[in-house]
Amino acid sequence: MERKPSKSSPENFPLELFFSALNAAVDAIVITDIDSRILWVNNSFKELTGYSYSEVVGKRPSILKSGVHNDEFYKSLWGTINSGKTWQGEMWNKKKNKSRYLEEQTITPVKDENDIVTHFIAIKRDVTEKKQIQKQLQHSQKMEDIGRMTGGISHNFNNKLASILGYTEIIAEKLHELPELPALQKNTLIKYNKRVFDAGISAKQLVEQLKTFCREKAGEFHQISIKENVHEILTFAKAALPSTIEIFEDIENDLPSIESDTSLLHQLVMALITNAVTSMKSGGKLTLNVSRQEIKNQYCNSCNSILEGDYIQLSVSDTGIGIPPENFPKLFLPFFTTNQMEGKTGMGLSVLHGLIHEQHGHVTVKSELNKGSTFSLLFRYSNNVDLSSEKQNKDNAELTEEPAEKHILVVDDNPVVIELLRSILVNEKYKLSTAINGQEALKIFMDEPTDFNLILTDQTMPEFTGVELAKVIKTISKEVPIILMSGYKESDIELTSEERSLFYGFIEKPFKIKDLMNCVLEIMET
Amino acid sequence: MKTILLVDDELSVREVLKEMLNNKNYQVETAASGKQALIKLDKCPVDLVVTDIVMADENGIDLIMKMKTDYPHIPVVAISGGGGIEGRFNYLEIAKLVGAKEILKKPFSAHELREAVEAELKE
Repeated sequence: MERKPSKSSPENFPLELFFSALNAAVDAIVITDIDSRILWVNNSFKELTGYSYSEVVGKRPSILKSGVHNDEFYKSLWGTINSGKTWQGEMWNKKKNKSRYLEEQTITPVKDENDIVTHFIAIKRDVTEKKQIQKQLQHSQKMEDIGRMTGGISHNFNNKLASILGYTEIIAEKLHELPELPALQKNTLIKYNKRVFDAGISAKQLVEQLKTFCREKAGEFHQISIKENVHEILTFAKAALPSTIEIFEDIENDLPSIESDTSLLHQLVMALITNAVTSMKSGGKLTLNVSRQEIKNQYCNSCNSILEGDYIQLSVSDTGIGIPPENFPKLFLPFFTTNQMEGKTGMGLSVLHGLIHEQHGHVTVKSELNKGSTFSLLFRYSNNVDLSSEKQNKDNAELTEEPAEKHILVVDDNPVVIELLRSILVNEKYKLSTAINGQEALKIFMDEPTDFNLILTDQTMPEFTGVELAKVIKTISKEVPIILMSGYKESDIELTSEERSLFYGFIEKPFKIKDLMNCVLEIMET
Repeated sequence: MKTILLVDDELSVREVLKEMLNNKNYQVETAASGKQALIKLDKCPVDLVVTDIVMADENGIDLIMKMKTDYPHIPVVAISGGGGIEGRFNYLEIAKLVGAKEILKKPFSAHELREAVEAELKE
């Protein structure tokens, strides 16, 4: 006897239930007939594309075509689904408002009892942001890797240069001390030796640029007036630029001061001007614009960070040849140049990448082929009013400096670690006390037990271990958070659960500054 | 005659620096690592140490720190081609923090080295 489907069997579900389920789906769903005419779309389709049900029924999904993909792409897609197979992939489409987005899509052919394809069901999802974040992470990783590599190369290179330059100096000295050598020969040798020396010096300069790219040189910044400085740089640049370049300047009044360094700002602006001039070989217009901007949903073209907030924007625009889109990802990489034949090293924008990020700024680039490019530097600004002179700015920066409020006690028997932590934490405006052993730490702590917001202690120290110190401190004050540092892995230090509970966290040495600061900030914020 | 101990793991650097200083009539001893340098310091009187930082067998920072305890009277000139911890703390800055009197970034000129050495030996 044939078994009747029960009420709870899907076959007995009302059709409305399936519709509701499809409409509740987060992904957009499209059902078309064999001719690819849209029969039905769910609610999420409107959210994804901007088109309502009534606007698309009877039309073809090609209304979403973005123009990004070529005919081959669609031919292959249709080949797959027409043969009864499912197509899965990514596709750039266009919304009703004309904006492009990247879709992750699965198109499944529906077949009748004779195995003939009668309908297609497409399930779509917007992955534009996901892809952008992935791209951003890959790019950041790439820049970090290149930075690490160039840092290593420049260190080794300098060692070789020490020998090369040193020996050329010795040779020069020895040559001058050789009276028996005929003058002509001597002069030739001096000349050749000088050439080796000069090549060494230019290699030394190149290494310095590489170091700037990987941000090995930490600068000291203070509040400076961007208006005054940029005007000064432009006056200086005007004198040096060819007469075929027309220069326009538009600097907003009453701009706030920025955290930077005068010579660094000069270097940045000159790099942009040089870049603009290089792209206008037969002359053109160079416009320098400085203004306050509220940035939303933009990306830094060199580090790919998402930019949001108020910035001072310093833009240099040219009417030059523009940048081909395929060159955009490579613009800030060391040694990338399109002017190799003209002796350009390709380090200008790499240096700019290092310098602008050194001061927590960013750079954006817009360009159109044969029309020109605009490079914009974005600086975070303080709310201090603009000041008329550098000296006043400096004085003001000193006066407005926030008092160091949070107090950290660092305990480590290794002076190098202490000095490192001092450099990191004082730089972040924390008040710091240090001790090289447990006894000294206890003495400092006992003087002002309520004064400390955090204790960072090494585990392995002579006489008193970090755990022993923590036990004593916790009997005096239960409140103060303690972070245990050790050259061993946390799992390798045998701690009882009671001992483990003494600590807010654990940091393995050598630690990354970022990890340490994340931990410290977390404590300070709570 | 003053004796200078040159410490660098690269032979060509040791040779060229020795040449630069020999010209100035210093007695120059060399060592290829911090470890070797400590052995030499133990054996012969030295007036000044010029040391590289990044070396495989006992680095310059450790050498300077040990000298601070065992040979506090001997001044140290630290030399390095760059590099640092986390790309932020330059080795030369650390060397200065732990006790080097002078620091020189490679490549430097013979004049810069001689000037640094003379200044320290005068004190």
